[in-house]
Amino acid sequence: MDDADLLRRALGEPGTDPAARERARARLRAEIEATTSGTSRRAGKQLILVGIAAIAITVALVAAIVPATRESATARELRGLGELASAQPTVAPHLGQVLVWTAETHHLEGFTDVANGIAYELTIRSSLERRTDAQGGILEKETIRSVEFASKGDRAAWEQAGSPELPTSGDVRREQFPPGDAGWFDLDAISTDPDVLLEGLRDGEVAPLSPGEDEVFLLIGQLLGEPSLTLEQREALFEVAASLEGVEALGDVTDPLGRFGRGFALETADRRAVIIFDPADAMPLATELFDLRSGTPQLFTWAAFEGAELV
Amino acid sequence: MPDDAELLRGSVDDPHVFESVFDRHYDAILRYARQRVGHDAGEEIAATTMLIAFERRLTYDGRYPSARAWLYGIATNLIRHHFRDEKTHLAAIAKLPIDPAPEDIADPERLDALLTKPALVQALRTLQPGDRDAFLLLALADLSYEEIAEALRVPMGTVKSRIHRARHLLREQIQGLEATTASKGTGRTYGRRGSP
Repeated sequence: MDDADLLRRALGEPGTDPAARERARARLRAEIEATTSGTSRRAGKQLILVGIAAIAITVALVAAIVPATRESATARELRGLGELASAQPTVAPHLGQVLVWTAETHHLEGFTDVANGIAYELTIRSSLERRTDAQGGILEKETIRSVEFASKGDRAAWEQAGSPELPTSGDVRREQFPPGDAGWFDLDAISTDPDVLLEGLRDGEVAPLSPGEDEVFLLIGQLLGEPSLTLEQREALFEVAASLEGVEALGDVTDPLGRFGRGFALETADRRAVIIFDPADAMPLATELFDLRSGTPQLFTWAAFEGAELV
Repeated sequence: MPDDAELLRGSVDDPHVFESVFDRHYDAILRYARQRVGHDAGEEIAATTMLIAFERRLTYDGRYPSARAWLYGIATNLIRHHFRDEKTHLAAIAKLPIDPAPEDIADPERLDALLTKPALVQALRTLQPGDRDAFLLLALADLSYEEIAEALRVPMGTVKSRIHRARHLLREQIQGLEATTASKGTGRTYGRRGSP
């Protein structure tokens, strides 16, 4: 008997509860009736407005209205989170203090052998720590936890390149940025005007990115994870996220570290970008990118933000 | 008979169709919720799970014919909100006196389970939430690793490592109890539990 069996036997198995079932059914039916009444009124209004082609037009209108309603609810939820985020206190180090920000990441890194141009990709799991002083100087430390080839093809390419040295578990990479240089993104390019900001994101002015709205969406999540943003910049990023076409609310989800949050996704033909927010303070818990090409979503890169504190 | 994905698709146009999904899965969700958080909180969670599932039926991923993992995922997330209820419930179970009935004594496996229960339940309380969720979805809901990954929206590798961690901790607790019991001279020896 294994431990799962042991637990099942130890806890016993509650029997069915017809009374509880009927109470739950009554609540569900009340919800169904409320939904049914709402749908009927909407359908009736459509029939009054159209002519001979009423059925075809109604179907098209309903198909347009239902997704629009979902997006509107999604946009509303994102804007609500934006309001919550803008009410949070900003954290900035004073003289003598350091802001320590940490995250866990699982990301792809491309390598190119300079001698022969052969390229290959590695999947790297690492812990990030970023220390920001009062002047804005940044010291970033990345500790590698594990390294794998992204695919068999990447391993083959690496072997063809002569099996050069690879990063390994335990390696520490350090980088330093002077005041005014936030490292991977341009803080000053994050406009508080959502329209200007969206242009800046798409054009790569805020940070380099590959083409695609999923990349823009993912970048928004990654930027919101940065503690150096102003409240106005955060609100603008949420507004941009709410305005993007095709953003879907996933509801309650779990992030790569097992934490509970509210998820939102934007899907293209090949990929799904996900941002997971902590509903308590609207800070992003994590960003995820799924590869959809095989038919089953494959999570291939993610970042989980652990938080920032002053020391 | 239509699968859950077909029923959920149908319920978009005819919401009453959702009741078939309710009929299929409510009892199992109630059982799971009550095992985790107790009688009353469990009933509330099971009912709310169905209401949330109805509300979100439009966004159900139709690639999964069975909604079982999806529903357990919703229930598990709701249970996260009730973490105080769960801790209270597990603490209460852990403290219950062990009083084997004659049929328990006649069944060595059942007796084993009863005698190990306090240590097991205490160990459950100390697990990280993600590890506890994964392990209890395996043990109580009898989901496969793939279904647990779907329910918790994490990769399969994460499910495996969470369950491995949970098992490791639980075994340490059980072996601790065995050592204590043996040293007290109950006259019964317990073999090492085998690996799954």
